[in-house]
Amino acid sequence: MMKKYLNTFAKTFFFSSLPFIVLSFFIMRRTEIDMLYVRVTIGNILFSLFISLAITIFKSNKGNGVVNAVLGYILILPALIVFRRVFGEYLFSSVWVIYIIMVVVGIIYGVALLIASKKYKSEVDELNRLLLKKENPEELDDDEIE
Amino acid sequence: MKISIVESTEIEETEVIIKCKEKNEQIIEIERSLTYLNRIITGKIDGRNYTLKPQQIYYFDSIDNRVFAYTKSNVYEVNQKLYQIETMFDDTPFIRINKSMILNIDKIISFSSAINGRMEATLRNNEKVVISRKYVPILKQLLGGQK
Repeated sequence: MMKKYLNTFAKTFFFSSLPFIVLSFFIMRRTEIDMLYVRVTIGNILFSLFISLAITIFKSNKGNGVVNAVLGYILILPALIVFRRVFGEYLFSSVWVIYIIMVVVGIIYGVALLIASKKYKSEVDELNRLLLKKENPEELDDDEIE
Repeated sequence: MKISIVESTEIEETEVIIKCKEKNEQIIEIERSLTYLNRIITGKIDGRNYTLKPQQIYYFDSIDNRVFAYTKSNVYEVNQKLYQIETMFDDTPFIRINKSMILNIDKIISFSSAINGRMEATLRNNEKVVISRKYVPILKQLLGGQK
């Protein structure tokens, strides 16, 4: 579990580093405010820690699938707060923007889950059909003729 | 390929004769699948060795570099490595379903999936095992579907 988590963390950190650097660069150019490297890096590490934890729990083979999915979303929220703490003063002009982002992330998360679960369900149905066909080949073939 | 079965009460032991022009890959595959039932695995419980037939085994699981064979109600430690078992049971109902498990698909009663995409197979002894998505196309093919 720990190995999997660290592996996910390494990937998340790698892929989130670029947006963090680009955003810092963008803010520095637009506002002429110094984005401290330490602040951005620590923010990036914390952000990646939460996101990778969310991914690991979501993909976990233990526990209830629905609970894991909900926990996955809940763990994304602190990552958004970390993101706001790093870039808040420049990107989030009003306090409520973070709440809107949380809701938007929640909607995207929900829609993605719905699409994925539909796809997986059709795959499982196909496997169950094949299993049934394997067990009772004649019975199902008759049904198919109808 | 013609297949004929001769039934007789006088026959004591089942015999399979393959008549072919030459022993090619297809024939070797047929031979391998026919000898599957004769293959045996030695499992150990509390220092005592037991002979296991493939039909008795539900799945093989590797935990901390040790491989275990699970039957309906017992767990036996097996001396072979998982990759050796995979090779040994090639072209049989045994299939790799995740990094650490080889499952006998004849023991599956149903498949199910959770909202987070986790796929599970329920076995005849009501145990549930997790199937990695990576192995689903091979599983589908083995069950008679298309990849």
